[in-house]
Amino acid sequence: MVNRTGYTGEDGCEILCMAEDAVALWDAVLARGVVPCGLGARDTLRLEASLPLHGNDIGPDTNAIEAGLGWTCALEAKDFSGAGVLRAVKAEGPSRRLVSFVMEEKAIPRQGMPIEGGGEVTSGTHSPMLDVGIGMGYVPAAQAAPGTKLTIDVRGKPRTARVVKRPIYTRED
Amino acid sequence: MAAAESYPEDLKYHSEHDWARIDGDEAVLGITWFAADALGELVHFEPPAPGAAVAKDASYGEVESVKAVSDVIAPLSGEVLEVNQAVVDAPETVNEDPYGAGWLVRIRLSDPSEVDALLDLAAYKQVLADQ
Repeated sequence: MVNRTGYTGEDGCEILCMAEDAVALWDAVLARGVVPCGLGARDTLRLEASLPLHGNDIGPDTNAIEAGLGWTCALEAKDFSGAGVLRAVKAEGPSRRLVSFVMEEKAIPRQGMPIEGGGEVTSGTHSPMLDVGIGMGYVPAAQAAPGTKLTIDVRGKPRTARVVKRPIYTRED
Repeated sequence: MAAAESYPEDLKYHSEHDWARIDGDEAVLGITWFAADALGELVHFEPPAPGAAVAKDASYGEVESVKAVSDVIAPLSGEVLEVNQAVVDAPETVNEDPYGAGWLVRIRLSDPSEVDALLDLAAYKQVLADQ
């Protein structure tokens, strides 16, 4: 199966195959001159693209509405496990939201760092394309608008960040 | 371009992969090629403030790559006279030239006798061999 999806923000595709075919397929792709990359590179790409990572930014303790993933839920059309809760969250408005942010000072945000006002960083790294620290995290809904300044506790030092619209970075051709 | 592996003869070393270039009662401090290579390309140096006290064997700053952050351990005690702004502005300088342009701070030693406890090149190479 070839998916025109991807988890990097770049044009590309994901190939799913049977396990016994994987090595031969991998070797064939590499033989065409593709440069392999690892999870670290993937993580900077997906964060620049504001793509949430399960286990970091979303998980059993978050809901799709606050994570900005309401568009993936057919709340009107279908009934499914959890649909009632999601409808209620959507109707009331979530108390917190997953936001993307860019550091305004030299510092790299990391998962688990507190955000002043009750928030927390769920993913953070150095953006190779923008050459600044970037990240995602949950903040109270009142702090979620693009342009809002956040203060992140970087190992005891307050560092300023700014909420930005998703994605954090889009490649210009 | 990251530098090739090297450990100059004229430096003193600390087992936490830091070096010191002693000049009278002053010393220039940095991290070794091994430390820079282990972290990967540095993207952030969190320096101490000029005038701050640094204590032997304690952290005086942080170096950070995309994947990891590490304390920088002071091989000697003293007072920070100068921070290398070139590294603050371009942290990858440490990878490119760890013993030259990639120095981190210059300090005035508060106890020059501490130098005697540092490792010479042969002793530091033994530390590397034991990693």
